[in-house]
Amino acid sequence: MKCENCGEHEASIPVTRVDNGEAQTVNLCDKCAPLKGIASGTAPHPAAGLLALLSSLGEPQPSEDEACAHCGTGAGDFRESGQLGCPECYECFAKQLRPLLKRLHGSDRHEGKKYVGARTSGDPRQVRLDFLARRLERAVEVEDFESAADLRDQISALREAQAQ
Amino acid sequence: MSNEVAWCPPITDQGLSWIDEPGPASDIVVSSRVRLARNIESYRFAARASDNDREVILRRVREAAEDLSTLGEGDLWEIQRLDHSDRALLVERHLVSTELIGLRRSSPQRGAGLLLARDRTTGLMVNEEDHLRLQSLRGGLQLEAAWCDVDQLDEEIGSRIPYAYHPDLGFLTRCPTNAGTGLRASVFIHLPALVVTRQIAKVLQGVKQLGMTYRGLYGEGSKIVGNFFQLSNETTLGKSEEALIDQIERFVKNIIGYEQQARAALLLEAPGVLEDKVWRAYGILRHARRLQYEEFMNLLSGVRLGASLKLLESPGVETLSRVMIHAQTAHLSRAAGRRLNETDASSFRARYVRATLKDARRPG
Repeated sequence: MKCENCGEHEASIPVTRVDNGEAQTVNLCDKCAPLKGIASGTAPHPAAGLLALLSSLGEPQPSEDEACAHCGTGAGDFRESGQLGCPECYECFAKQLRPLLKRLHGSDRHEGKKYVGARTSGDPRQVRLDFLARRLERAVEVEDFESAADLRDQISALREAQAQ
Repeated sequence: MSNEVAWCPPITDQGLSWIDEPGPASDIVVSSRVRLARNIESYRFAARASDNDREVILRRVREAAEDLSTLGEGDLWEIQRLDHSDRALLVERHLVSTELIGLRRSSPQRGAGLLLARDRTTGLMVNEEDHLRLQSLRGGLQLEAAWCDVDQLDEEIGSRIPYAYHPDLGFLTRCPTNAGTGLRASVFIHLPALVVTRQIAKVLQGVKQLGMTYRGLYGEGSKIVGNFFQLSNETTLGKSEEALIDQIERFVKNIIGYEQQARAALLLEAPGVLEDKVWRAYGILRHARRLQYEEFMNLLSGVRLGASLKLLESPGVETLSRVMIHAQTAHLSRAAGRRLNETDASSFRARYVRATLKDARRPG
């Protein structure tokens, strides 16, 4: 098959895009592919295309007049742009967002750093200690014993300073 | 603890320190970057926030910056106060996005800012797509070190400014594609041998299949020139930061292996052709009177391959990384003392490259 962009070279890369809920595949040669579609990832807002796809699959969609109570972002804005207006939108559009997140990331559950919140009072050294403890755990995990030893020294020095 | 944080200082050589510490695998990997997207609770995301809110956010970052022990001495710019050429300099150093400097609108948004440590390429963009985009740039393949830089900065900033966070969904971002860890780890990698031997398509297909993505020199939507690719993770939720970093690092190491094999095969099977390509590229760079940026990057790619394979002893890869930055139009304009149009820039570029690359040596 010839490349659907230049029509000259043999097509070797199928590129699939989702537009308006429809998956379209174009076959490109290895010259055109890096310059064309797959050069810059996918559509400008990958979430927007996916939302349309999910709606065509019968996943729950926000009704037109639904809007975020905090920032006023409407369901239509969200569907068109795939972007949210404020942190509270995650609650407002939770029903649509969960399946979207699953599609985008293969998961809708955070497994990364836990955030304990800003600390208006307390010892700033504790922030540093928590950080060093986490790095130490990591250093041991990847068997970087040199860093681990260094981190242990830093932790005991800080603990001593804290105790005084 | 209080730091010296300069407010809108002149732009000199800030943000280029990564070039002087080339790091592992720098013959193939130019640089590694890790960025974290963070937002402040109770505010609308930056694109939807009022001018006043964005200015308040910039002010809070400015106050917090004064006692960030990981930052040390630093510089903080309000993008609106910079003139066009300074903004372009920051883009060319990959310290800010074109979105932050408001390239697609008439001017940057109020409250858009950049904070940068003075001794490292670590800092954060303020009021881009998200309120905060923490980032660290390192030379060569150093994702783990870059992650450590931003992790530490994140701990300190997050302890002073309350982030928008959800126990199930993690850090909340303007675009759901960044939610969770908010982490994007990327490497800027030079793969000329995989391109020449036509194996690149297969590799890039693999990138997509493994949930990663690739882009050109200036990030999303930009063109691939000079066989330089930016590879990064596409998903940000459902894995820990360390797992994401490990995954991309392992993957990049595989690609480095393929590129090395392709280079070895070229050296073995067509040493004459390879050497000719390298020295021709050098010859044009050394003598041309006009160089468009794209042509320059393609030739630089040839010379960089020669430098990595020790076909020429100098210039080294660090010099070439530096040339790559300084041969861009805003940097040339700065050196020329006036804003250059494309034609003038190509003459200035040729002159700068001729002067910088004049001492090539063969090994031995």
